[in-house]
Amino acid sequence: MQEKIDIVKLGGVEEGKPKKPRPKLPRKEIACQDPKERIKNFNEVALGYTPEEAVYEAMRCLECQRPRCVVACPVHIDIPTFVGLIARGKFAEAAKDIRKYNSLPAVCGRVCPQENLCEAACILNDTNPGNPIAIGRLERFSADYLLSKENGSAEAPKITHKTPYKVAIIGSGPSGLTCAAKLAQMGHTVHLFEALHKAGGVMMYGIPEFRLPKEIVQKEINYVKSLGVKVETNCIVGKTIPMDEIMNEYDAVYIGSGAGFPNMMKIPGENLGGIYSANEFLTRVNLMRAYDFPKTATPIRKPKRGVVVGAGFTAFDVVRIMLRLGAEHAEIVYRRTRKEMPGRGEEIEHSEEEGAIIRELTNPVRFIGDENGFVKAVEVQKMELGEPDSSGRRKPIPVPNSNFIIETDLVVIAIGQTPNVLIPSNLKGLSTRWGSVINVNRETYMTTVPKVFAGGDAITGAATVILAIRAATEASRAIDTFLRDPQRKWYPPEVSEKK
Amino acid sequence: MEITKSFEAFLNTKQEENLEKEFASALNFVNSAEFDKSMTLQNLYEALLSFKEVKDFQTKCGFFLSAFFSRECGNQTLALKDDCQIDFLGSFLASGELKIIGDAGDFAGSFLSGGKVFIEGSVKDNCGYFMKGGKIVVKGDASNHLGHFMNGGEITVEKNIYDFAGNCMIGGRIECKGSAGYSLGYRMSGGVIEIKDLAWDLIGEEMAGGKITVRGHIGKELCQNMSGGIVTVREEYKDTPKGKTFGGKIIYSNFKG
Repeated sequence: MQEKIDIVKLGGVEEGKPKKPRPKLPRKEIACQDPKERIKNFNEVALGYTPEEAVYEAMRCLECQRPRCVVACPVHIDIPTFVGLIARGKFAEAAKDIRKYNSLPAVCGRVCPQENLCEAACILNDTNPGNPIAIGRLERFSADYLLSKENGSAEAPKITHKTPYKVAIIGSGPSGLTCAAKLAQMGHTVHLFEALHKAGGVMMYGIPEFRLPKEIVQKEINYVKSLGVKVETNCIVGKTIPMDEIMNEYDAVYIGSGAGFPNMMKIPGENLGGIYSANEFLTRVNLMRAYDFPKTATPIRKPKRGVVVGAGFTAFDVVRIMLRLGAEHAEIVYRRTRKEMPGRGEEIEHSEEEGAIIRELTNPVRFIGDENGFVKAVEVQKMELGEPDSSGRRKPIPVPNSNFIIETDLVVIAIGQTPNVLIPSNLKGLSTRWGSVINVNRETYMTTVPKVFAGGDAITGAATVILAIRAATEASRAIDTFLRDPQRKWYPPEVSEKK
Repeated sequence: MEITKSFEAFLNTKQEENLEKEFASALNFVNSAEFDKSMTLQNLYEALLSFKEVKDFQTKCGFFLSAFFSRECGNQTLALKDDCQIDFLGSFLASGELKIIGDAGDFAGSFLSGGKVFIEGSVKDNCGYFMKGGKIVVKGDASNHLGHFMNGGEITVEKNIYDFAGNCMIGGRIECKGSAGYSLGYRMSGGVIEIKDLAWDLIGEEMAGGKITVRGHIGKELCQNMSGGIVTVREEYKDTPKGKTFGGKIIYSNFKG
């Protein structure tokens, strides 16, 4: 039974009574573990709002008539409605409302870059810059409340109409799970295939426990399973099951295999021991819990002085893990400046609080090994910024005769990922660009192979969880339309013959 | 044949290969039906709701109601019930005025060539799809692909519009009093879009012609792969990163006068 909430005591507004917004109040900061304490453990850093704090923050929302936050949200969550429900003490209902648009609210509340999306568009920024409604934190609060009170899966909507169509989904990351949940709600039979032994994709192997607890991810996966989705782990499509079998057995196939293939520097010494790709390093720590070795089966090199190359989300996750593994000195080496860093502001701030050093305008040119073949130092070169390049960021230019050495015993390369080539190489006729990024029709998410759709990082290269969810949501609608179309019309992407 | 029986027969027909043929089929069923001359669109809608559990009801019902209204014309009001989304409301209209109270489903006012569709609530995807003339007024929000392939007429949205508004638009006018989502005017080659508040990332993406004006804040990657047309945004966003352009014009204005 749902617990009774005394909303007046919490500072909110009773059901049926008009709300008097308090936009001039300062934004409520979220409680975090102390930096000195948290670098000794892998527990979640941000502790979340209490009900009082959530109601306080929700009461700041103006509930605009024409909410800008909704258009800026890639999946167009009805933000004023769910914030209004929190202000009225209806925490579980708020999460259920979010789930209409986003099947993974507890995940997005933690890892979505809200400061560049919904919160950037909030109207409160106009009068008081930097003080928007903490939408992400409220999303997290309501989703956690629902998961803790009702175990999440109990809230799964009943599916009344069942269609005769079967859909295979390859990959169980945010994109695959979202597409599976949406299609299951539409009444289709959905089978989800995951190569690893645990479902969740990048949420399980890529994002560390202190930023996204695996228990939360598991609860979200349980919710998707409760909709009737069958999840098959340890199954590599193209190896364990031939692609032809999938194509024959299912009415439609959705590829949401993500971007799990690391980019490397291609500089001398990269094959030395003690140099990891970010994917390998994170998989060892997050999925295989190498930080607990020898209690767990997977080891990891524990550094004294660690270096991370790159400054995206992954790089900041890696540097913070290094500190938790006991590194006395861990630094980020980045060829541009802080302004151009793709990492989230909050992550950069947390990393520095924990003792990470950020070395700007520096780029590795070679790795130096010891007599045993392990890395002992990195030779780096100073950079300066030129004109903006195609990504809109200023292009780094090397400064001649500026090389110097950084001593290290562990290097992690975190300069981006691309999709794995396994599926494109096993599916005849599938058009790709840059080797493995799948070409799709931007409106229908159809690939060049009939009845095969794709979405998420597999079609864009490494991006954010919310963009993967958006692609999956739109693709699920396109798949449903395709399945119900008696003629099964196919609109492939326009692919240049020269490519 | 009684009109509900006629609808039941239409509901059991196989979906036609294109939307025009489906509408023609619906019109045939309406023409062959017998009904009281005093029957209004509202009466018919309420009678048809008894079939709402049947597969494809939301599409077939929309076509049937649109066919009935096209035949009867005049000015009519339709109050929708919340629990059942109806697609294709006010489609293929050539004259008359239809007022819809409540939230319309997908393809509201599609293939409109004249008349007026007034929607008191919000609309889902593809409102004004292949519209050639007439007017659509939406009091609430409009979801993705508003005015998809629109060739004429006018759409006014009082609140926000979501992604891909004016997608592949050739002519006509879209006016939004709130904000617009991603990829506004994607692959647009003609017509006018005016947004009173902000528009998010990828304004004028792959745009080849026409005119877009955004009076509020703008997102990233303005005019990515643009080859023609004019995009007008506020002067203060001159430094916002632009996408790669091959033609067309970006005007920075202070919107005075």
